[in-house]
Amino acid sequence: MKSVNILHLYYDLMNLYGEYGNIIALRDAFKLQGVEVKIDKKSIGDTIDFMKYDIVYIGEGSEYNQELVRQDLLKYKAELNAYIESYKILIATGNSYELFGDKIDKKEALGIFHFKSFYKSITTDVGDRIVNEEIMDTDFLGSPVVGFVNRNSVNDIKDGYLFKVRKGYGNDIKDKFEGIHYKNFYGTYLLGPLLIRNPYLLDYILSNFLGDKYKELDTPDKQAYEEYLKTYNIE
Amino acid sequence: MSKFMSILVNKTISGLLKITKPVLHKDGSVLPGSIARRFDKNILDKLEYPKYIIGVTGSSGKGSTTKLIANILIKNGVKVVWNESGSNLYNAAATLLLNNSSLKGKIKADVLLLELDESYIKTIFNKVKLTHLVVTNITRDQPVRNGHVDLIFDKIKNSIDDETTLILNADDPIVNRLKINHSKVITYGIGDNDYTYKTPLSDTLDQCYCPVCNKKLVYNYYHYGHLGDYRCLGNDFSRNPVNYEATDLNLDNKTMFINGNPINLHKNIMFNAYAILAAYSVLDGILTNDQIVNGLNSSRKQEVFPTIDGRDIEMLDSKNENNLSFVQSIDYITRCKGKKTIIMGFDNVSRRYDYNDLSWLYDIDYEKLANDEEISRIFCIGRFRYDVMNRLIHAGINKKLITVVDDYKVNLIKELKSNSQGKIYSMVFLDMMDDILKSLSEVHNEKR
Repeated sequence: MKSVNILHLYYDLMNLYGEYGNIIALRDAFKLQGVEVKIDKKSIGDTIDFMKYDIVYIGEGSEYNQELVRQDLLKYKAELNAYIESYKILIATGNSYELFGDKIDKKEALGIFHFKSFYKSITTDVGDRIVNEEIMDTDFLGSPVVGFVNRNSVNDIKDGYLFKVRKGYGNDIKDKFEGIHYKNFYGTYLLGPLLIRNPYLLDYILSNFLGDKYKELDTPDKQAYEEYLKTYNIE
Repeated sequence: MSKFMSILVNKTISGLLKITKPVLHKDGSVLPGSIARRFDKNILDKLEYPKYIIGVTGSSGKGSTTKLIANILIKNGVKVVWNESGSNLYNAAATLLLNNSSLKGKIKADVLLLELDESYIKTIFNKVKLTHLVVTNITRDQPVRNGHVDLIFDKIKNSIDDETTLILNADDPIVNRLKINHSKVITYGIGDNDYTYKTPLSDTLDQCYCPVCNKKLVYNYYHYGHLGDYRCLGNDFSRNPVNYEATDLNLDNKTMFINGNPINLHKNIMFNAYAILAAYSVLDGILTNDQIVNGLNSSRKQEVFPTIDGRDIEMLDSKNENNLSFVQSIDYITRCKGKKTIIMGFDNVSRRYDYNDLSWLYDIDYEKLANDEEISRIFCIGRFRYDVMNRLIHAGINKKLITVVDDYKVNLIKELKSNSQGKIYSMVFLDMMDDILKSLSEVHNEKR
């Protein structure tokens, strides 16, 4: 594998909480693996040929921007469905993965997965958004996933989830599972630099893509991750 | 009667706290107002206010802008009541206003000037209306509490009375949205200069589409972040024209012109230019041009830095969770000449809450530091020192220049002395500044 084509989808609208960190996590990790990295940025008004990409990433947006994107994205339903079905990698963080369900509030979404999202607020000591530090477990990693959420919506996904909730909120607040996982589609409400903060999750995605060419490396990401777990006594 | 009691109680408790401050260490800016409110929960609606009631709000710069406006007014003999302590929530405002009122409730001032948290404008000014509201900027800021910029915008928008004159930083398209459907508007902005960029420094822009027609905004230049000279190609929305424009900004010489009048900056950093411009824009009409300029010039102070081994240490205000505040500090450091050492880090993300969201580190363009060949060393300190280190490495900064310091209260000074060169710039969060300054003063005491 000599090169990887990455698409930062709606880079200018869905970038609310350090989402750019996921792009540089992918960029730097592939470079360390000796892979040439090409990154394209596309948004409203651009022509997008999804099949030419190996990885598509989309991050969290404000409710207003999510709606602008929803209107633009609907025309790509068939292409995105084909992309996902062909085991290509799509990573959607924050409220962006709601776009792939049937509905957001009462508005039509892509309908590639069958779930509904709706606005919900809760009362916390800082306001009414769903805000928390999160610790998640998975079936496919030996260590926990850490992160943060800041959102005002939930969804009704019950099957095919990505994470099991150890601490924090699930898809619908009290759910014990979070996100969505299908083939190489990874959707989670965890925001921002998820792949920087979770180097073993990044390794998992990398090794799936690179196969036996993948080399396990020590990185500053791993050092930061281990120190974070130590600071907060997370095992 | 409840009004009288409320004012009396506030004054009495404030007096007591002032006497006991050396023992109890309570600054008394919040407690009196909170107790006074129990006697009359609408007390702030019942006071007699001065002719000018000026509020200053925004994601950053509101404290320094408020201070500058106050200084200019005071230098010109105007009696100002203002929240000098920077406490900007309801109880602090109540304490301040009641302490400066007669027992009948008349505020003893020509101008009331308040730095206001975006979320509390409406709570404080419920029935009484601001005559002027300055909005410095609307940027990413404490997302745990504020959500995102659209929600901050909504809070400010919903707090504005039709009769209030808005003084808006038009370089910020989010702030400038406030002019839509508001009649009393004054705008200010900084014109093109040697420090502008033709392309954005990063993709992390918060308003790059027209708020009216949703077409992408076109920029002639960027100052930083989403601030710059933009327009909608459909002519629905534009930065221009502005009422007060700063031209020929020269940060190295600390000079600029406002509507043709020469002005000296106090510090060679962008946010000082914005603070001066905002102060000028709101005070024009209240004071004469000469009065403003004289007030500005007499507010200038020569900066005196603490030192270590003869090396200056400059503490830069860097607000965690506010990317554009950091971007200006980074921009300032890279513009400074000579060898430099930088200290970064924080023990807590916020002073207001315990949530440790680290995403904002990736909204800051640390990448600019990677091109600064005069950096001798960057020290990462505090509880999240490895996360800060990691961010810097991803920004392309040479790993050999980065040192992670464990137990900074013990080890930082030693490291600074033995392992770095040049002027020291501290970008640490407020929660660490006191400890660092304390360690420095201990170094000075040892010398004696």
